[in-house]
Amino acid sequence: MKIKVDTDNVWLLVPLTAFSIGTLYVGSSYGPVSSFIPFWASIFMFVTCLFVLAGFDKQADCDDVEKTKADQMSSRNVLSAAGWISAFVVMAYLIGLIPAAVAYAFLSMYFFGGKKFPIAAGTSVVLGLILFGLFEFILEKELYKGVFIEGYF
Amino acid sequence: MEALDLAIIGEAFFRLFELDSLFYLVAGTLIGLVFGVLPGLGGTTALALMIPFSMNMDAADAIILMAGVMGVAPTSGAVTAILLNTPGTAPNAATTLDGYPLAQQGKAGFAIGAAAAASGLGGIIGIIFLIAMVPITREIVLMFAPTEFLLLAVLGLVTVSLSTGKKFVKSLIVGLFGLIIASVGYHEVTGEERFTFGIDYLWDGFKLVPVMIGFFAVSEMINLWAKRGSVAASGEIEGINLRQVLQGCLEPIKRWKVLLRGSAIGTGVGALPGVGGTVAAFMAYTIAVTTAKPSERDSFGKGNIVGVIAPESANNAKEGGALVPTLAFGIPGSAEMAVFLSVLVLHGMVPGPTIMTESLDIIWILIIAAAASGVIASIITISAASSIAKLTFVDSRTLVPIVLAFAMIGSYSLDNEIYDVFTTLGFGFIGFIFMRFGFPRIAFPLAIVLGPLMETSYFQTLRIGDGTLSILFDRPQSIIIMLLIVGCIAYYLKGFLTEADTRKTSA
Repeated sequence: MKIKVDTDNVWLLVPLTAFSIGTLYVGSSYGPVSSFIPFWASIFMFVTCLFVLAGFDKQADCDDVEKTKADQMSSRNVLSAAGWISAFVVMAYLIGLIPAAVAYAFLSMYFFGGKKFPIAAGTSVVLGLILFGLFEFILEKELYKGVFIEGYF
Repeated sequence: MEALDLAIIGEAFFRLFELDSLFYLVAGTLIGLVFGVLPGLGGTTALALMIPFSMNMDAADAIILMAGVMGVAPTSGAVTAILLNTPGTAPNAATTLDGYPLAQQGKAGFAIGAAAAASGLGGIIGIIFLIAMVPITREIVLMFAPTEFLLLAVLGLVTVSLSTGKKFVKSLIVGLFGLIIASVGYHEVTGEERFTFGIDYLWDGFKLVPVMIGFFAVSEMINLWAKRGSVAASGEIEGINLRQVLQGCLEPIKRWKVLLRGSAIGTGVGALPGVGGTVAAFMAYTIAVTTAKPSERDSFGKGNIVGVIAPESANNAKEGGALVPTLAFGIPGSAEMAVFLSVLVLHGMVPGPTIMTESLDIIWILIIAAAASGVIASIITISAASSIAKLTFVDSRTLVPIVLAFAMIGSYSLDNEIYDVFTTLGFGFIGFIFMRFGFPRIAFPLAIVLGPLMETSYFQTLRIGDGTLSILFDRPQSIIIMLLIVGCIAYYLKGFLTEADTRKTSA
């Protein structure tokens, strides 16, 4: 059997292999009962990652070629999605959950969704009111109000 | 038989008809309906998002809400499959084969009526199977000791990975990753701190709810945002003729053999851990084609109503079957069941002997709620099919912020902990990366839920075996499960070697 590095998955498998080695290294310092899962899971993970990395599992991807082509999304879109969703979380940390949700919904709909200002603004405000009513009133949960009020650092 | 105690069943039945329970059932059904219609979201995302809300309810209400969500998602997915050729959930793909041609012939109402009735009846048949299995599985599960539960957890991960076919190894990697994540924090028995790196937040490990919401809901939102555009491909939705719908409703009864066969396939396949509704639906469709009269066979794929009834009945009947291994052995049949399993655990119900003896009332509530949800779903689908289908035209830029807001606030609200929001985001990225690289995610929730059970069972096995694992080879139950694990791995290796040989020969 020929070894041919699985270049399609290398960007995921290398970090996963490193993760398994790290887990094995750190986990081996624990007692026999505590290290049971970390030890065995990391060993099997290391072996299986190498198996896929060496291209032995390449057949698994054959059926997916068509699907992958059809489902393809540009890296730019993925980065944009990751950036926007991270921005929402950072915004939530800074100004609080509900204001962040309202702002995020508005920005997303107005600038990227091509919605008109009244629709984007109206939908975001309604979303904020629903979230406030549902969590603060019905569920009686006091939501996070932002780092400047809560004082988390 | 104690498991079929009429008093418990009656109590569960009346509990469901209390006002608040009915509210949760209808709410769950409506939420599941919306998520079931939107391709790519489905019941798993809906269940993950509902976890924080369920934590504010008592166990019975939480189960009713979840049963509502689970019961409806496969039914509503058929509407878009028929009207737009876009299956709401993966198992509805089989319905497009004949459902969409029927819609193109102006018989959309007929197909939707048949699909809804077949779904409702199939779901009830699946539930009847579950009812029959409760006393039997209860007796089996009581024969199991911690040794068997340790091995069952391993078997669960292996079978769930095996169900992904050629992606067995990749699924196993995701499962092993999940096991490592589940081991973060204090060990339940030894109290030893693991992988916390001095971070106080990690002392109790990663919390189940933010991890599940991130891994399933947020990852889908990242995917949806990156794809852009509307959730489903746009198309024309023609008006639905009510008379046609009613005629369609009668069709599964007229073709009761197809209905029963589809439901039996769905129930049987559903009971196999890891084998999901897609397999059940396509298997039922294929068998419907092969058992049809030779003169009828050519009409499949061109708008034969049997091609709608068979997969839809199988798809819904599988829920009842899938609940058997989930409740009795803690081995979920699908990602949806794995998330549902985490809800049970969060409400203090451990699948296995405990739930089968101490929480029988909850099991019966679940059974009755699931059956009722299927019926409600069918009624809603029949009465509002075209409006339901229009939901798929929603723009992802409108949907993503709304779902994300609920996901993040839901994660936070559980413990009022802002770092849970970061955990949700982190696992959202991890889930998305696995998805993008084509690694099946089904084993991850199973590993997260089963990890602590494995650790406890391992400790108990060591105690029973005086510090050794020799007891694993002393009990016939353990040996049978070990043989099953070896059999699963051998099955994969056989396929792997055969394919390698074929490629070598053809090269």
